Amino acid sequence: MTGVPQVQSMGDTMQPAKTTRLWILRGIAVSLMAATAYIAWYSMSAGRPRDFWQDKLQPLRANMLQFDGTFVDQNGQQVRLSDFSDRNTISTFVFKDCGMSCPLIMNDLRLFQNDTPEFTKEGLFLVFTFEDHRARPQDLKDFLGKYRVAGDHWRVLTTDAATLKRLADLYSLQYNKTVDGKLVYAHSNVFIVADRKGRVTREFRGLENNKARFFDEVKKSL
Amino acid sequence: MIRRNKGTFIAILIGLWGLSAANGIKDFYFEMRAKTRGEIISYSSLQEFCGWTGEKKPGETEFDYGMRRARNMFSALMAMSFMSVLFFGSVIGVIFGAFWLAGGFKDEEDDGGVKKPA
Repeated sequence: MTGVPQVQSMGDTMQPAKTTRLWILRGIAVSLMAATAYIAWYSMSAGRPRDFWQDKLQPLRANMLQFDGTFVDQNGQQVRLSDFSDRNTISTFVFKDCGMSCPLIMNDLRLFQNDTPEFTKEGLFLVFTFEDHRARPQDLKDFLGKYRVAGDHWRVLTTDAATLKRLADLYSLQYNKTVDGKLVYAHSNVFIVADRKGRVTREFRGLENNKARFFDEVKKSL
Repeated sequence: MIRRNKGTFIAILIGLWGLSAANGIKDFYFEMRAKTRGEIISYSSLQEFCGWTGEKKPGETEFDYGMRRARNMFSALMAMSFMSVLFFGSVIGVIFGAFWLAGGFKDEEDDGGVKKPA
């Protein structure tokens, strides 16, 4: 008979601990569901597929302005990407002398400029050249001249090899000018659209044949 | 323990499952959206899509590439299975709901413990 009250009292002390553990489990379940909802919302809400883990683990990729590096533009001025805050940007990468996809890339930007004149007031085209410091400012000016584009909303930027490699790696771009001693221009084609705060809102890879749709998508991303 | 706390158990299960699937859902969402708009998905311009990992990225080691492949496939599989269960569950819900509205479950409650005369 003496054992019965002891068991009851043990049961009484065990009960609150068990209840607490259960509430902790319920809290974990709710947190998991909340995290699920947030990640799903984050990855789908921007109008483009955003990789949650990539953005959180690689915040640099998600924000262009945070990239650390000095560039030289076609006017010979030293600039940093953080200098372009408060402006929408469309960035791309080209070889200055490339005669393959680079003219198509530049043509797309030029057509976009003509299609969206309001972008020229507040926006900026950033054209990074894969050639590291081998291009002089005058060469960069000539490059723009070749495509008959000019104005403050165009910046052709060059930098040292290491910085360029860092930037290209950040956006998973491959580039190579010579293969086995032969001159070739092989590189990924990309357009990176960023808002005024530098947040990358969209990355377009490859060249879109349907220009109207491409322009539409870019405008939506700005 | 589990039988008495089915709700908590199912919530943790769905939570973990959903968390694994959450990042992969975007692929299905944007694929469905492209399809409803009659657009063609350009796989050549995509780096990763629905378990397809694409080529090795610049500066990526073989180990990193392997990990990315595994992670990408795991995420796609979890997203596919989660969405299948979600849609299948909603169909079951609709059918059960229809039965419930029609009073299909009432009979069982009424019949409970009552012996019908022979």
